[in-house]
Amino acid sequence: MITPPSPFDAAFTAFVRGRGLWRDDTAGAVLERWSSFVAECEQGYRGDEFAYANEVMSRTTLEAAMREPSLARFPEMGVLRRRVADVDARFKPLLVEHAFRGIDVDEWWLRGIVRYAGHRLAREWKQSFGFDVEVVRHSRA
Amino acid sequence: MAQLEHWGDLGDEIAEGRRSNGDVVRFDHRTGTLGVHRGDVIIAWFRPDEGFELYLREVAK
Repeated sequence: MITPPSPFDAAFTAFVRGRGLWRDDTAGAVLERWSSFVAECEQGYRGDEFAYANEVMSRTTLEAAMREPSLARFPEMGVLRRRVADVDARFKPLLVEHAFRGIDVDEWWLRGIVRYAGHRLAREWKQSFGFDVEVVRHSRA
Repeated sequence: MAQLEHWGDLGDEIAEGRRSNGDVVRFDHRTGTLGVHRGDVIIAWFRPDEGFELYLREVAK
């Protein structure tokens, strides 16, 4: 039996699709994308510069949803906020703040860069912007 | 929000801007694809999940 989406899920999906998100558009999926991205960063992000940029945008989508008045009335939003905050608390210590000064300070997850990463991201950020990022050669515990 | 500089007559369907390092970034609203050009080389070409929102952040870098 296929369960129809809850009113919150339907409203959340409609909102993020309106912003341009074209897949993985449920609250759970976007949260999972944010959480998985942070987990990978904790180990040293292995992808390239643009894969990183794509994945970190999941937090931007979550922020927009959390600020959206039409979603504020749903009790599920309180749960989502707490879960996002839990993931944020893991990501913030990984960052060098204010690396991309053209990014608004409110988008701290985009404005900062991770202190360490796999060799590909480290090399590409060095080439693109001159950032010196520690290269992770072994998985961190 | 990033200031968008219009670099060429690409119509309303393609947005174009530049990153601080000189890379040209284009976003095609028809397909949702983003391309990043460094000189004559395309260094990235993909369909970002957040579409135009990602383009705006790239040209702000």
